[in-house]
Amino acid sequence: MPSLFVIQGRDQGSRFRLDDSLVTIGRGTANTVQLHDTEVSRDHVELVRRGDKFVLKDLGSSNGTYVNGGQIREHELASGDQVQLGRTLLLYTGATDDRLEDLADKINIVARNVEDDGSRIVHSMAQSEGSEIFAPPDDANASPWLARARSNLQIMYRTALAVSHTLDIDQLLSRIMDMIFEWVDADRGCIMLKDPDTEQLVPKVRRHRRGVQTDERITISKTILDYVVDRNEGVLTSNARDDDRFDAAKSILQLAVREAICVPMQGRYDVVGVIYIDTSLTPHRILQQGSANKFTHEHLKLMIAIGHQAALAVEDTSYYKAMVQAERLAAVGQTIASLSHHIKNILQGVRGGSYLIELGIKDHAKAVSDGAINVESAEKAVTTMRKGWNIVERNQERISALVMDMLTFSKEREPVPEPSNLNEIAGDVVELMKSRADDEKVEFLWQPATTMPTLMFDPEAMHRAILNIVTNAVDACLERDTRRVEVSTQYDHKERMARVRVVDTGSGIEKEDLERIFAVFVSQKGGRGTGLGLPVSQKILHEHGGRIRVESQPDHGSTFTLEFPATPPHTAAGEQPDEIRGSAAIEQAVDTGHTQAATPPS
Amino acid sequence: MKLAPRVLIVDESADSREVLSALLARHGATTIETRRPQQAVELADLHRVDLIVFDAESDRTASGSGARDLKAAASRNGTPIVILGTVRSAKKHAASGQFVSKPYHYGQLIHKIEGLLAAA
Repeated sequence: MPSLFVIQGRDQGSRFRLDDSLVTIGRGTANTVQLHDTEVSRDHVELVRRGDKFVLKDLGSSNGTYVNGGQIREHELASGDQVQLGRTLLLYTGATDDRLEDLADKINIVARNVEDDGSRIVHSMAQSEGSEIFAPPDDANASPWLARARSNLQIMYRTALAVSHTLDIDQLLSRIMDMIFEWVDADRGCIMLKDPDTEQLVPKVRRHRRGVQTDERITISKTILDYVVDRNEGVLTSNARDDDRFDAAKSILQLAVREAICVPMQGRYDVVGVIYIDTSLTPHRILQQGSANKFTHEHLKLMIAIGHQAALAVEDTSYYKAMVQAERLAAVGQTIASLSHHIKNILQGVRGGSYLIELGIKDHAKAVSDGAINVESAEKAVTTMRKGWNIVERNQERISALVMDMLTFSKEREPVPEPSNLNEIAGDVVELMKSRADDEKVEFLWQPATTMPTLMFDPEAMHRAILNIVTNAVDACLERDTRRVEVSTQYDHKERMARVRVVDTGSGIEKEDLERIFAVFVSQKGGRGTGLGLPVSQKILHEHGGRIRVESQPDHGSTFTLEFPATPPHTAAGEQPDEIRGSAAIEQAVDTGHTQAATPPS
Repeated sequence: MKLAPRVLIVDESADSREVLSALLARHGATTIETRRPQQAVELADLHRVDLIVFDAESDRTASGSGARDLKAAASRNGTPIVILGTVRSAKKHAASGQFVSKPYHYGQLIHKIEGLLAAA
């Protein structure tokens, strides 16, 4: 599904799915996508679907529409395009490109080259040695220019490596500053990032060279900062009085900065901040080094390159954070929406049941007040009340089951094994579901294993796991002509594996849905399902070192097999032997339909 | 209200169907129940009911064809239809019949149904 993801601006982290053929974006509430950005026009742009593409059209906005930095009136979007509206930057992701070539058949990875051409490894090099490509040559007579170029390339290589290894902006900036101090003989330095909302530069990292007074404040000329940010140029100032570009300002004169380098952190489309370093040359040091300059044009070029590299990393990190945040919010939103929907349905049931009880009470009260109380009227009132009460009770059970599922799913817990009989546990579930199955005219078959030893497992948890599966099986049959659910148990003494098999004649599960049935809040039951039942059952089986296997054929039905390693109490002291788990893991489901095995996470 | 009017209830919630059936029975109406609009279309054509009560959220077709077909069947047979749905979907359904937003109160719903049956 094509989408727009806000990577910068007040709505940062929001994702808008482009479901409709026409999507309008603007500040106004009537838009499909409303942006909370005062620099966005009320009706700013529209997106018109053309086939599987979207065309972006500016609707005469005040501040214009930009795609990948260039202003547009109309533009066909490609996946990865960045759309700037006011201060809001959006990332467009298109539909999955079906035309992408499937390379699986084009590239073969084989154990042995059948067309052996005699190739062999001639040289090998460790990854860490890669950076030595820029190491100074052994030749002492190599030109200084080449040596400098090599050194600069090495710096850039190391910068690229350093910035690619962290997703924490503060850590990233700190690392960059350390590296700059390693390569440039600066006394003080800082990195400032632009606040996306206020556009103001905010200091993030500060450094002083060792030996330089550390509590000294770094005072930076606003004139220089404005120049760097507005013009997107790096500057080197060796003496402000010599630089006529800043003659209108007094700040540099007052600060007495002898040498400074200030470069923009130019990202893909915007300046995200600045890097500033300076140095003070005392007369003594000038005499020592024989020059009044420490920073050169070469330093400036290098700093600009570092600034760009750092900016890209800052952008990537910000986008990544925004993406993670958006996904987190989406997950929370989905959880709330899903639970709310289910609770709403339960409440509607309670409301209906209560209303019937209320009517029954009213009927009874009226009959009493009319003096017409008799067996018939009393029976009628009681029947209405009972009907209502049954509905209320049913919904109490539903809310109780929901809370239990939520609790089971939300916390990591170790099963509490105790000697239990799987036939009794599964039989109890069957008993519990029998009346509902009868009500829904679902034939219920219960086939307990003829011999079932007492086994060590958590009976309460297993009861819940089986109940969820059996409930699903009954629900799956409701819209079928043939409605049958079979529950059976089995214990494999050789493998020490306990199994509960639940077979239904329901509508079955499509192949593409099989992969998602254990995902939380994904329900095939529409309004009736919480999307928690199967994940909870799966979690319980995983906690027991087991799994749930699913075999399903659409329009024929499904078979769910819950299997877990279990031993009788006298052999269960301590850990389960590894070979038991191993044997469970390698068993394959044999079925002509679609099969999905939910194995424990490694 | 005419004698023993027949009402078709289309709702995936068994509770809602049961409550509504019980309430309508108190008013002398008989009910036919189904979960999905697809089956309801056949029932509506077959039984020529006096009223259809349809919970729009019971339509699980991806394109919404179930709801469309049922509304078309109601229109074809001249059967009044009460559509229960979310406030957001009101605009979509309002033109086809009487719309009641969820969550509704059964008392109000019955009152509306009574009115429609009386007018029929």
